[in-house]
Amino acid sequence: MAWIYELPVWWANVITVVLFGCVAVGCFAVPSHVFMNDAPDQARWRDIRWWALVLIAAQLGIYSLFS
Amino acid sequence: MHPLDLSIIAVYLAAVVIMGFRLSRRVHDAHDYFLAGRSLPWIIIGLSIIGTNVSAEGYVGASGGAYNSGIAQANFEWIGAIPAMILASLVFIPLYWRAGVYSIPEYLGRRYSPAVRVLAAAIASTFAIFAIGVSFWAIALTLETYLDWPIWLGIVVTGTVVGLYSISGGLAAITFTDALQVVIMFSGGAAIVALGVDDAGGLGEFGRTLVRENPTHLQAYLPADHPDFPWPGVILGLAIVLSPAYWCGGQAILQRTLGARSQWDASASMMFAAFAKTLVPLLIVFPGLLALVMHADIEYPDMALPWVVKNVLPPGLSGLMFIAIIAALQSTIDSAINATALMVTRDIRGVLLKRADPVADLKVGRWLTLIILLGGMGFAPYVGEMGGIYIFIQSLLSLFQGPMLALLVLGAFTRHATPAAGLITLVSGVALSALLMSSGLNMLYVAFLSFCYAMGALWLTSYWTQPLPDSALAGLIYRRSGVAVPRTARP
Repeated sequence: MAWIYELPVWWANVITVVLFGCVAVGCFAVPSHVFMNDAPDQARWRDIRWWALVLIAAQLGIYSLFS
Repeated sequence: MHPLDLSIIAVYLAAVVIMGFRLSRRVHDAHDYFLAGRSLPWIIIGLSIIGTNVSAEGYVGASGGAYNSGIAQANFEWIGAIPAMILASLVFIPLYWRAGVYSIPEYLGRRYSPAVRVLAAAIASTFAIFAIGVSFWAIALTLETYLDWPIWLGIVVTGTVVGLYSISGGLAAITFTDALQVVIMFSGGAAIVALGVDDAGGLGEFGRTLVRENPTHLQAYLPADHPDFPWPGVILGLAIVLSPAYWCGGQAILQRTLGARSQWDASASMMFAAFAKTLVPLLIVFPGLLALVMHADIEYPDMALPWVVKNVLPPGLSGLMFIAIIAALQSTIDSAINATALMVTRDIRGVLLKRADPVADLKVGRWLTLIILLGGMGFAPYVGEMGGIYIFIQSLLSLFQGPMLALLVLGAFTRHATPAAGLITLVSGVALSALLMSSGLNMLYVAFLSFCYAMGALWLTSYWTQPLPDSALAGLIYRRSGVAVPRTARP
C-alpha cells in the first residue's frame, strides 16, 4: 500500500471531474418513465435528471474553488 | 441562560411533542406506523432526509473534524454524498418502490434469502443502537457545555422528548418533526455564518486568517498520507463505497422515501435533499473553522460547535441555534429507533417466527421503539471514552458497508448473484473488514478493500451455487424498461 501514499493531490481533482462527468452521462441513461410514471403531471420541471445536472455543475464549481 | 432562549426552547419542545401526538391519530397499523400510510410529500421527505443525515454524520463531530482537518471534512457532504444520492434517486428508490418492500433487508431477503434478510437486519440494527448512543452522547455533551447539565440529565431529558413523539406518531411524526428541525437548523446555521464572518472581519479576512495559521484548511483534498482524510481513501472508500452503501442501502434514510405518496415523490425527495446537502457544510463544517479563526479555548475538537454557539450568537439566536443542534441530533435518534424497530419487528421477528400481522406488528413495533431507545441511552455514557464521535461512527460503518453494497449492486443489476453466495459473502466480508480494521488500516481503505473482496466473492461463488428462478426475481432487478423482464434461459 505504500505507493498509494505518494499519489499527487492533483489526481484527486481530475478524478472528481471524471466521476461527476460519468454521473451526468449516467443520469440520461435512465429513461424518464422509470421515475415519472406516477408523477402528478408530465411537466418538464419534474424531470429530475435536470435537477441532477444542476447539482453536478454546483459540485464542480465547489471543487474548483477549493482545489 | 437568557429568558428569551429558554422561551424559544420551551416552545420548540412543546411543538414537537404536540405534533407527534396529533399525528399519532393517523396510526392504525404497522403500515401507518412504519411507512406513514404512504402519504408523505417530496419536500417534507427531502427535509427529513437531511435532518436524519446531518445528525447521523454528527453535527457536533463534523465541526470537530473541520477544526482538525479543515474543509476536507466537507467531502462527506459533497463527493461523499451527491453522486450516491443521484444514484439512489434515479435507480434504487424506483427499484425498492416497485418491489413494494418496507425495508432494505426485506429487499435483500427477497433478492437472496430470508437468512440474508435476518443477518442484514441484525447487523444494521446493532449499528443503529451504537449510533443512537453516539447521538445521545453528543446531545448530552452540548447540554453540558451550554447549560452545565450533567451528562445523565441530558440523556434522560432528550430520551423522554424523542420517545414521546416517536413512539406515539411513528414515521409520519418523525418526518414532519424532522422537517421542522431542518428549517430551524438552516436558520441557525445561516445566523452563525453571517455573524461569524462579520466577527472575523469579513469573508476575505476570515479566509486569510484561517489559511495563515492552518495552510491546508481550505483544501478539499489532503495529501495521500494524511492520517484522517487521505484523498485516495476519500474517493475510493468514501465516494465509491461508504456513500453509495449509506444512500442506496441505509434503512433510516430510505424508509421515509418508501413512505412517499408516489414513486415520483420518493425519487424527487432524494434529489431535493441533495440540493440541501450541498449547503450542509455551512452548518456543520463552518463552525469548526470559525472556532479556529476565533482561537477558541476548547479541550477537544468536538466542543467547537457548542463553543461557537455560546460565544458568537446573541440571546434569542443562541437559543435557536441551540435548538438546531439538539433538533439535528434528535432527528437521528428518532429515525434510527423507528428504522431499527421496523427491522427487528418485520425482518428479524417476522421471519424467525413467520408472523406478519400489521396490527400486532404495530404493538410490537412500539414496544421495540421504547426498548431500543433505552438501549441507546444506556450505551451513551461510554461513548466519551472512545475518541472523536465522527470517526467512531464512520469506523463502525466501514465494517459492513462494503459487503452490503456488493450485495445490493450485484443483486439489483444482475441475475447472477445467488442466495447462498449472498450469505457467504456477507459473513466473510464483515469478518474481513474486522480483520483489516484490527490491523490499523484507515477505515476508508477498509471499506474499499472489503467491497472489492465482496464483489469478487459474490460473483465467483455464484457460479457454483443455486440461483433463484426467474419468477422469484420479477420486480427485483433494475431494467431500463422500468420492470424486471423474466429471462427465458440462464447461461
